[in-house]
Amino acid sequence: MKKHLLMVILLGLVASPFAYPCPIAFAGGISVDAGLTPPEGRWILRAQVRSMSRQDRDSISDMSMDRLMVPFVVVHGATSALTLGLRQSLDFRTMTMNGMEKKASGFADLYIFAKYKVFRINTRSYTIGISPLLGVDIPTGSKEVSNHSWNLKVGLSASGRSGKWALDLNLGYGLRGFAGVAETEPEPGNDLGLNLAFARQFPVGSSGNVSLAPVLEITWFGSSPDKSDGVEMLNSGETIFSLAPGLKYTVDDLIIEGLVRFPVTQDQKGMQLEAGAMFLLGVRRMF
Amino acid sequence: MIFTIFRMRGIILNTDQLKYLTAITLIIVGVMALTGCSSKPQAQTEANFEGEDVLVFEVFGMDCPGCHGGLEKLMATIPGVIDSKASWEEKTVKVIVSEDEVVNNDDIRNAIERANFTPGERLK
Repeated sequence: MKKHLLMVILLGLVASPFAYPCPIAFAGGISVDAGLTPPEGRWILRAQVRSMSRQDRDSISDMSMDRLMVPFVVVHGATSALTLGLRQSLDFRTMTMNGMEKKASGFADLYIFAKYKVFRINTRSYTIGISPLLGVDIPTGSKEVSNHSWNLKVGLSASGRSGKWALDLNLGYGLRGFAGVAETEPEPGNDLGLNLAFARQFPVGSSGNVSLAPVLEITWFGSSPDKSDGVEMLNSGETIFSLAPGLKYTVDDLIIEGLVRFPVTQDQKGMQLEAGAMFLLGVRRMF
Repeated sequence: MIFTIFRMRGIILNTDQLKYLTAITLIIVGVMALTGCSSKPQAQTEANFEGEDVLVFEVFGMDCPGCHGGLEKLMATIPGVIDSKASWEEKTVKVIVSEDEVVNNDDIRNAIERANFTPGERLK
């Protein structure tokens, strides 16, 4: 009985919404023409399904967490330099421990962002673009999956194109809980993400409107531990280095994309679940 | 396919989640299908652009098959432009203009720049 009670308590702790918040600096899966802002008046709708999991490192407690995220993104080229966007995700989490399950699901926090073109050069042989980004997580999400605080993201995106080769770089720093953190809650740790994506387009057919592009993303992500009264908490903070091969299929204004992200090395502080592979399938439509 | 992946990953969704996901998938597919159907036909032939009312400009910065749409959308806002077709592989935009109206080259160059591309030489 005591053992069951202990497990329920442990499960409750680890499965709490604060245990694995959505990292805000984590560059968001599959290259997104990072530094190349869209044309004025262009609308881009994007939907993805992301399936990810975490496992107990030592498999002692048979503990795991499966998470399914369905983000919807709307992006608009307000001017040729300024891009505005928002992301609303559905978040389904299932925590399992020794056959017992705890589920949490609902709308995640609303994320709004702005990207501004500071540099763009287009020549016959190459294109380079650089755009800083400013975004904010607004704690509008469902009680079970919301971060319950305002998070700020500052980022820098750069893209290079030469012939059919593409290189995208996203660097993001997340100031978690810069506002709205309750006094009784620990101060969330900030995070830093670096995502580098290579792609090569292969035209399909003779229409010029279809291409297939293998993509390789290299991602490093690090989050600093949460703090309570200025003291670092034991079971928080991690670094993950991952590789993600993928494919992007473009038909005119429609893009279908998919990738699998494998952690290569990772280090979690204290008792935390280890990150597993992430599967992503997405669709993008431009208007 | 998505559900197969979930099963492979050992993720079991409850009925509500499945309904949710199915609804989302149907909405996405529906929107894509409807918008795809309403797009202008892609089968533009060269013959459409022959004649004195066709202008051709070099355009630098288009790097994918999906790039032309934003530029063509901006071209359509120029008075006197009937249609346009941009090609990322040829790095050009062909603009059909009305014979009754004068279309300024600068308007076309400006539209190319607003699309975040760079106009090159006027080829025709």
